[in-house]
Amino acid sequence: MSSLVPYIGVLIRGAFVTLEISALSLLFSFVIGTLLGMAATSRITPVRIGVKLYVETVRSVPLLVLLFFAYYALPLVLGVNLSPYRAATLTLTAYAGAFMSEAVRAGIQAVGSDQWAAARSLAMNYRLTMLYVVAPQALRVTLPAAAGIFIDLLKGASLTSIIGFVELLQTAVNIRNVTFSITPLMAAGVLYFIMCFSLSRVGHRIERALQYGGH
Amino acid sequence: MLYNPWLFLQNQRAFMLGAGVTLLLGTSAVALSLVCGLIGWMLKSSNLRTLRWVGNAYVETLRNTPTLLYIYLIYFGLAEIRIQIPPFTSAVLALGVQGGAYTTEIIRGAFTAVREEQRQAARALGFRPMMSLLYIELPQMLRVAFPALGNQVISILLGTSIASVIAVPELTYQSQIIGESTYQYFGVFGIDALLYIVIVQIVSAVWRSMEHLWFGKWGRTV
Repeated sequence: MSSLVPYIGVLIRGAFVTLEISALSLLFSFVIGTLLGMAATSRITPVRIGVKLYVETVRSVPLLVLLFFAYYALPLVLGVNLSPYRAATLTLTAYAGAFMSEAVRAGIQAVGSDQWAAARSLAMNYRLTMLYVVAPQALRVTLPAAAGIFIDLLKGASLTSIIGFVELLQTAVNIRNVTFSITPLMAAGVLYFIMCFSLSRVGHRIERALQYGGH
Repeated sequence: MLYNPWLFLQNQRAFMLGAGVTLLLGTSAVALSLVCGLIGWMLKSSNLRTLRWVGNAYVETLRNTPTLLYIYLIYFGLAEIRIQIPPFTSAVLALGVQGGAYTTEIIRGAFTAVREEQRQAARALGFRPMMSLLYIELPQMLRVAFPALGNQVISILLGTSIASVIAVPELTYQSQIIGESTYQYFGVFGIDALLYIVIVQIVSAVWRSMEHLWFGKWGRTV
């Protein structure tokens, strides 16, 4: 245990790296997810099928394989080298984007069609209805799901260590490799637990705060 | 050349072997996760506060930490106390025990979905608690939990790819090896991803038809 003391600062910095890349990916995926989620409720069938295809593909392929694809295969296609950090952010964004689009779609569909009809009768167009009527209500479903996606991202970010990105878990492994003890791994576990558990609490709180009516 | 069209045929054996190991690893981990899930659920619903606390700690700890951490802990940690576990077993342990935490919650949810009247009726007919659980509650719980269990099976199957870091010769590991020797990363990981998609789609189709076959006649009632 005492062997850990000089490394605590490094571990905490690792935790912040994990938080940073997850938060960044969450932010990007929120943008992608919103666009795709709206496309998933589109009236144009090919658009819906396209989104469905994307979501199903991402959900049927392990995150690790997506990471390998972005890190090893994409540079061959694009002709530019991606740093582990960029490949990781790109992959986590694409991955979370699929889940986020499902969360946004579920949110939009949870708003009853009578709301659309009411907005229509008030002469509101699609943009206005979406912005002022549907989006605020859709958030009730989407936001708690987004907290869950953030947790998945924090845990998924540990896989980016395999393509050489040094985040929390890799930091712990590096410390283990000099101290020959698994205490740093346990400490990393504690840090993961603190981050994910408090996030899930926040998610529950958001869920409860957004509940209203007799549902 | 970006993509060699014969890549799959040239390495068919390795890919198929990898897919086989992935399925074997996935099945073993799912089996272990069911056992862990049942134990976790019994702990969580125990009358003793200490056991409940242990059950809660199990679920919350395992759900809020990454799988890769457990693979490292089992693989490095046990080596530290001079216990050597083969990579395959380590991966089954990590995936199964962690999957069990999610399964615990699925089982708990299914149990609350079975109405209290069912238990009372079983008691009135003279079923002992264990018998009533086995013959009355578990079959109904299985029906309620079936779709969620299917998702759990798929997420464990996808999780097996992480076992490649400790050199379990499953699909992703084989792909890495082929990639390193041919430098056909685009094709290799494309095929790898495609094989996962095929496996996942087959498993979920089989799961859906099993659900329809076993529980279809009951409709949506509980």
